[in-house]
Amino acid sequence: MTWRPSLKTSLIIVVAVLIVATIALVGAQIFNSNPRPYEKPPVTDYVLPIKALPPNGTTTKVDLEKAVEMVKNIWDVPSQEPSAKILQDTIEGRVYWSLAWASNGRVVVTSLVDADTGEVVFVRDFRYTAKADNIGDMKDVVALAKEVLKRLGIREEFLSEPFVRRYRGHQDELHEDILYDVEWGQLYKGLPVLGGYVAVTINPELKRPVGFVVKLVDVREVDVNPHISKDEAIKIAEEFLRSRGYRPLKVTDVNLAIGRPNYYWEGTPKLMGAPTLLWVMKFEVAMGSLTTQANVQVDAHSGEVVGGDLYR
Amino acid sequence: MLKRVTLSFCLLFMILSAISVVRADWWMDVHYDSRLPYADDEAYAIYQIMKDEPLGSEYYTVWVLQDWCKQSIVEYSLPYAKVWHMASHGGIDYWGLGNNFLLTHYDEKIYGGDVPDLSNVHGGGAMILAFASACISGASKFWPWQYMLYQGFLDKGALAYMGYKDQVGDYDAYRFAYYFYLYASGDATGYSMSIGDAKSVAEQLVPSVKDNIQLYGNPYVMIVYGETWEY
Repeated sequence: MTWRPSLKTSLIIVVAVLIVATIALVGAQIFNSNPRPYEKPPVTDYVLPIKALPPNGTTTKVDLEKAVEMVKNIWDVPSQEPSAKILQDTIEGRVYWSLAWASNGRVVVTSLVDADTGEVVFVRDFRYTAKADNIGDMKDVVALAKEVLKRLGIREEFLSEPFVRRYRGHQDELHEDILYDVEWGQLYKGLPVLGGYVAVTINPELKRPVGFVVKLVDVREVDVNPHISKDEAIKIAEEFLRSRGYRPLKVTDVNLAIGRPNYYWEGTPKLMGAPTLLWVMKFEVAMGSLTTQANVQVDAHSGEVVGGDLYR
Repeated sequence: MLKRVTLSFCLLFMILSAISVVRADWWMDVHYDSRLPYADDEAYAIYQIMKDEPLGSEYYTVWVLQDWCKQSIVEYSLPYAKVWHMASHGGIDYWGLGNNFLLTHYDEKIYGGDVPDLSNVHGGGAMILAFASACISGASKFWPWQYMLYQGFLDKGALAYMGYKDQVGDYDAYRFAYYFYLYASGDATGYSMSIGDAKSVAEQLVPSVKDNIQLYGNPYVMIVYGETWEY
């Protein structure tokens, strides 16, 4: 039995379709329009601090195969091929192979390999979560971390004393994840190197490392004799803060260190500068009704303000 | 009779189609205080990462919001956002004895008690994550009379909350937030990660915030899933 609608019925259907479509459009406008008094701003010219580069059009000194091999040499990774992306860090000025081994759609091991040198900078292994803490002595944690250091070929004479930290991955009793972290700061001629560190993460239940980060800065060219004094540096920093509308209340800390200028006070992220000797100062400052802390980095050779930070 | 049934089905089909047309996308609200030099960079970087990212069958619309006042945030932002981020100043009353708060551009304090219902946001379901990228925003309850920000967000329905238990630098907070969303979204590896895993990676790469950044609630939730591997 077939139904052949008359012309009238067909017209009714067409009209009904139009009515419903109109209702849908109006409804979409009502329900999907933003009831809040603002508009999406134009952000077309923004440059990301880390950009994903297309693997097919990007040439790197270390190819993907070599990068994977470098990780396999120092870490037990799953046997399957990892996913790979090339990430360009426009602040640190480095290009990485970002590798991830996944199981059932979940990343189980992820790593960053310097695409110019082949150095494995970072590994984090998610296969082992600690629900219990079997670490009896902090020395055991440091010993476990030192094994990783040895595997990476890093000599301790360029590093500070290790700092051990025990922390929970998240503040939720149902999803306990306890971690230990052993961190060494980089030193050069007795001075700390800002941004230079090695850290090893330990699972305290299984007593095994579950990750590491190596961020060492090449500081061999840095002259460690300051050309300006501590008092001069404080004066420069105070004048600078006043010029930016912050009222310095007191200096809370002053140290000489080596670091890459972050040009923080220029207001937008930039490629960090070459390592240099810095006076690193902390100030308590007032801005309007607010009191906060500002860090100022003054180049100890030129006397220029080259970086810092402002507490939130 | 047959005609009527057929027409009824046609009509029903059209109504259902209309309903599917008006389905909502997810909203991610990213607030920043323009007094902080890197807060706007943080907001725009998050915008670039999260815009058009999927969550199931829907996609995020990211709203970058400069210098909103407290009333607007509480009434027009919090109840709608699936993911909520705020890069601003924060603090705690009475030298740590009182409640912690987020500070708006106009120095108004947003406390845990100000948080509205978050259990039915735009697009449906509860807010997945609130990330207060500000000093002391992640401080935990110590005194019995305290009611902290994380409690306010979790009590009102958010699945997870992140904040800093101590002071944090503008530069460090920007770096951490960037890495966190890069890994959580899958832009860094091709696989999106749970917020707990993404936090774990980001704090290794920005060690100055390690043990400072706190995650409350369920660490296994994901803010992005359902994307396809593009390379």
